[in-house]
Amino acid sequence: MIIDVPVILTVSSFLVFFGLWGILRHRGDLMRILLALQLIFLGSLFNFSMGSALFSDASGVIFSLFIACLTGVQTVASLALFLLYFRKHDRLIPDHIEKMKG
Amino acid sequence: MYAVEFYIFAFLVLISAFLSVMVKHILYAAFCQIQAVVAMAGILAGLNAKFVGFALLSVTATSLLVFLVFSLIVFDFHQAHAKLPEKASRSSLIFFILLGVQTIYMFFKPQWSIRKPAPDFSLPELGNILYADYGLCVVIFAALVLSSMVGIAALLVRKTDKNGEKP
Repeated sequence: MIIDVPVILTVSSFLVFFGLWGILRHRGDLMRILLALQLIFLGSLFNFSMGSALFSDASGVIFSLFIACLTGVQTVASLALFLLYFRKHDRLIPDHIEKMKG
Repeated sequence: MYAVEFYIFAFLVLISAFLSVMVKHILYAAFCQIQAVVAMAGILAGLNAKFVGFALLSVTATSLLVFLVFSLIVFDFHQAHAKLPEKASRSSLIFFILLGVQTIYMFFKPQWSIRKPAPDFSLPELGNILYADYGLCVVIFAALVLSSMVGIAALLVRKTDKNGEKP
């Protein structure tokens, strides 16, 4: 039994789709948007890793390593920015985030 | 049959991602996210890229732990005390059993193949490629990450006046 390319692309597409859906569904909650963004990163990581195994080239695995690190950095940096906003306004409401000044 | 195992792990990833979007409580959403990441690490381990799998697991575990602390304690204290469903303990037990089974399986399972035997993505091989072919990428990425962390830390430092009081 062979794992075909369409299967790989379908799984990664569904992951990205779930991430986008999560962003749209929870657009009033910044923390849930952060979780949904991680799903998109997971989809791209899956795509790189499977492509790497498919073409026997380790470059994709290297890039998936970069993506894993980027996911962690993105989460921590976003949380720090949210904390900055929370200190100023005592709540997290994305509708008012454009009022945040640097 | 190797591909069957891939399909099981991919199914687990997709179901967990779907549930992570669908569930209302953020604690359960984070749990589902952990499940998705563990299943993804299983796929990576099957592709003979165990190091990347463990790196993904450790990075995600740390970031989700920080995420939970912030979301339940700092930002939304009331949601931490919100009443969880009565079946929470049962579903949590199933969740942890599933995670344990996957983790044990990852340790004892050899690689599976896509079209031919999976190439060697072991740590020495990856390190060789990483620092020989992608050395500049590593340096740029590290500089970016470091500068973003320093920038965030500088932003978060509370300014105080001479008396030590916040403005």
